[in-house]
Amino acid sequence: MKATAMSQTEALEARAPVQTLDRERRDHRNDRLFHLAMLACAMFVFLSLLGAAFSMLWGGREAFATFGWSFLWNPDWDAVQKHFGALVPIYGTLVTALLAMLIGVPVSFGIALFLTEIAPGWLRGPVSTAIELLAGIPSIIYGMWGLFVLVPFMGEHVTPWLDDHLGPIPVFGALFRGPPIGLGMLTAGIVLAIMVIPFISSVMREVFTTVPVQLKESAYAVGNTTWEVVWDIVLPYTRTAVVGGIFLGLGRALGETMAVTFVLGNAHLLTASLLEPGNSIAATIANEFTEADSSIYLSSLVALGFLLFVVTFIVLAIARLMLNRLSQRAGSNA
Amino acid sequence: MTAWQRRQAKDAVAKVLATAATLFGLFWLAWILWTTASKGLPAMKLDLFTKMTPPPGTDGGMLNAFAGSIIMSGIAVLHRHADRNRGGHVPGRVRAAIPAWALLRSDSSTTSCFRAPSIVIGLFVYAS
Repeated sequence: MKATAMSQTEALEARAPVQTLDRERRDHRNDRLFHLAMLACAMFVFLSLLGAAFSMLWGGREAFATFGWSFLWNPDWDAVQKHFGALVPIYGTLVTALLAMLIGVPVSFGIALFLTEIAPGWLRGPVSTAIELLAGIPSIIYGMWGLFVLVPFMGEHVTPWLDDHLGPIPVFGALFRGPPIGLGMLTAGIVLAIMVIPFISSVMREVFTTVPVQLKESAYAVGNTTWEVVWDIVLPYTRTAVVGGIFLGLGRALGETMAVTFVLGNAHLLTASLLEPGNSIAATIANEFTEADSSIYLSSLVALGFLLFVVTFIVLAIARLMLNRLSQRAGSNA
Repeated sequence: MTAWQRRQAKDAVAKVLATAATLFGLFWLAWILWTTASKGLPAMKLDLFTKMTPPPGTDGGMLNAFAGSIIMSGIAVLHRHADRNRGGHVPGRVRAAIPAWALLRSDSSTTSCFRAPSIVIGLFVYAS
């Protein structure tokens, strides 16, 4: 068989050495073309990102020029006096995203743990589909549901209870003192948490299933409990991807616009309380873009958009550094 | 309590909490679906799909909104399809060719979350 194949190849080459050479050259050329086309695609994405950032900076130049660095920490947002500062929206964006992470990450971990280790086989498919269905709900639905259903519920039952029971605690209680209106940071954080749970939990579930069975079985064999296997074997093995999944969710929480706009209350107030209405960068832009009646107002909004870019970038840079440090500590493991 | 019992207890607590977390997730899904279904189903009439948005106080449908959604997502899908055909799957060799501008190298899952928030895209499109 081998001999025949050899002789056929030899015959081919003997018959058409020129053709083979041609073909090689053509292949090489096509390869390069493909390479260039792929590079162009990648650069297209990168350049549009860069273009977006620069056009934000350009559009916001008037605001940056007028207010300078104080734009970053000025809590005023006064359309009449034409005095704008980004502190309240930045604070609101960070606090709501942080709340969403505080709720969403442990819950997502629990869901992934349930789906990979606890649930009986027949239950895993339907439940994980249902959880992923949460990701398919458009953000405007979250916003409307939040405003018409969750906000009244929070205002009637949750915020009064928090105000009564946690409000009197010194220092810590300041977080939970506020009027029972339901709108505010806490409600926005909850809605955001529901929105990021499907992303984080499906990444976690996916990577938990990639852990080699031998590793887990060995741990079980020496008498580990399920929790110990997940905490000491599965989680260390998958931590890079888990952190990546968490930041995927955080990226969504930071930039989420519609749902937050509905439930955050749109008040340019700087308070420690989670029960008071506040504002976020995305919500401010969405709310006020059509109302911006002066060029400095419009410019301030675009400058806010640029800051959202910067905030997202910084957060992801931190994520990147954390991942690098993790993989360094783990040696060649990651 | 022996060490073994303590470990067993911890395991049981973890399992209960994980199950509770799953129920927590499903609870919101059920609540949202229930709200949209119970409030939306009574409005499902033929008029909804065949008539335009009415002036306040009169009957009508949402044909214009449906049409808008279909046209916009149709255009987006066509673009996406074209993008895919040009090479949605970027091989590793090509990725390596992209200079490592800070964090933008597409070699980990963090990159996929570096997407500009939709509101920024909106501003970009408006401003340029």
